[in-house]
Amino acid sequence: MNTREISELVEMHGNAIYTFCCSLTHNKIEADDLYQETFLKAIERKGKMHQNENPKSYLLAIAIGIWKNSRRKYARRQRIAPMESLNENSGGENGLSMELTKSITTEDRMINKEMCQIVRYEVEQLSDKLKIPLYLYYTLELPVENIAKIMKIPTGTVKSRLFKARKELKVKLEEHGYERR
Amino acid sequence: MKEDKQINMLLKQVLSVTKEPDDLLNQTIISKAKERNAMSKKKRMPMVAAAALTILALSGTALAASRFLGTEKVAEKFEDYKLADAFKGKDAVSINKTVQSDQYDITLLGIVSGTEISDYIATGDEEILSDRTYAVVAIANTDGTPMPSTSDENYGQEPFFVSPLIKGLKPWQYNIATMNGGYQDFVEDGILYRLMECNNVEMFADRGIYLCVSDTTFYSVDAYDYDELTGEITPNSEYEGINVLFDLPIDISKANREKADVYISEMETEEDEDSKEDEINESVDASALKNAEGDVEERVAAGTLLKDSVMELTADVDGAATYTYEAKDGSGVNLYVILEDIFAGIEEGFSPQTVEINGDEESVQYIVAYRKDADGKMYGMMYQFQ
Repeated sequence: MNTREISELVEMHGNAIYTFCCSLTHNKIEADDLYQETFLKAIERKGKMHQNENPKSYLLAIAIGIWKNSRRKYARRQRIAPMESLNENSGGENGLSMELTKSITTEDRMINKEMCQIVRYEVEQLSDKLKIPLYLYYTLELPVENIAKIMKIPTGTVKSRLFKARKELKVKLEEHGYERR
Repeated sequence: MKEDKQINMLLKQVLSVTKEPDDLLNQTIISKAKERNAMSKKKRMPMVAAAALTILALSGTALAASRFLGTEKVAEKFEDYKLADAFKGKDAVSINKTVQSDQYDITLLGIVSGTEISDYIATGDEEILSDRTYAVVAIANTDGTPMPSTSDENYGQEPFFVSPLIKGLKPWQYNIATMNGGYQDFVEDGILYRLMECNNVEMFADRGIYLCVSDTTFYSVDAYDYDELTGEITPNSEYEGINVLFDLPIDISKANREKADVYISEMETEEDEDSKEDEINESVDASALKNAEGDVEERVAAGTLLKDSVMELTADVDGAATYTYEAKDGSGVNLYVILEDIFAGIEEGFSPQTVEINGDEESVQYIVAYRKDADGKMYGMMYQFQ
């Protein structure tokens, strides 16, 4: 892979891969580390596998592999969730859309902001088996078929994991008053 | 169903986030990649004895007579001169056999296996892989139409899965994808050349080794049949597409049953670990739930109460309260709770509901607990566990 190809790969898929790394690690330093390792491993492998066909999937599969095999290295550091992410980001660009919130009261919106934070926390508590397809599906908006290829599992399994994740989340969120929404 | 849609919507809104890496981070990746490329090139050492060169030139001539490039030329195209030498060496097997399948002529040109026979370093998840098998396959349109070049937008529209398969081992478990494999393509004179590599399969030579070529991205159970009794793998005659299967003529004397058994055992252990991990995750979830329903008072007694974390919970109009705790270093929690839910059926004492939080250090954990006093006042508090 020459320098131009590497630059193109980073330019075209950097944001998606970085977003995914942030979702997995919840920590900028670790996200940077995982992101960098992902690209360097892809380059090291001379990774033409899927590179021309679907380089994003190839890179995501590598990121998942590194993440799974380096859990200790990427052991949760975020401890108690950072206050800034709870209070600042949860209702902004990452929070509920204006379209959805425009008809609800300020008070409701405050509750929704809290709910965003709770949802993120509860998603993070899920096992990798459920969490990874959830991030691929909702954060990167990949179709189930692509997720199946990336995770090397049948599409039916992806669907059942997404279903199970939603079901588990629903139970957890109900503990936080989700039913009232 | 309605609720499922509701949570689906909620997840879409909450998890739909885009993050951008710093420019500096991207520049670091590009710089490191340049350095590594430079290091790889320095490692090229095409030190071949003159006598060997003469012999190899003859075998090269034989291949040059065919319509395809020789395996060593293919390796050279990828600037892997060490591998090119290996393809010219005594351990390489020149095959040059063509099978027509679904309007394609698939030709297995040759195969070579060995330790450190490439200029490039292959890596597994956390290790350098030096004992490898390499095979070259040429794919051409039967009607002579040129295959799209790798820079053509149509390249890759038709995927090709090229992988060794081993007789007696489930092909969906033992293939290029599970054996640390990879490949590179290039197109010359309208012919697609694929150089594939994976862990050395010679150890399985006594079992029988195949090389499959299918029009799929990964191994396809539709394209091939696997007989669990005999271990035979055969192309599925009803499959509509490419499903070629070559027998790899690898010298049986290269088999290493002991090594193969260790390899299989390791592969199975990995699979078991994966499934155990899933089971553990599930049991941890179950155990967490059980703990939550257990005696919270007993659990928190083993921890240290962070005195400044105790906060009275006051119900808002919805009967909910927000528990907030901010540590001196700026970290903290902010939890929204429905009081009647967390204290359902409790006159006095701890709620069975807790929130467990991992600390900065692996050995530190926190639990947020909720307690109701005899006077009806409710509190949230945090305990630290070492």
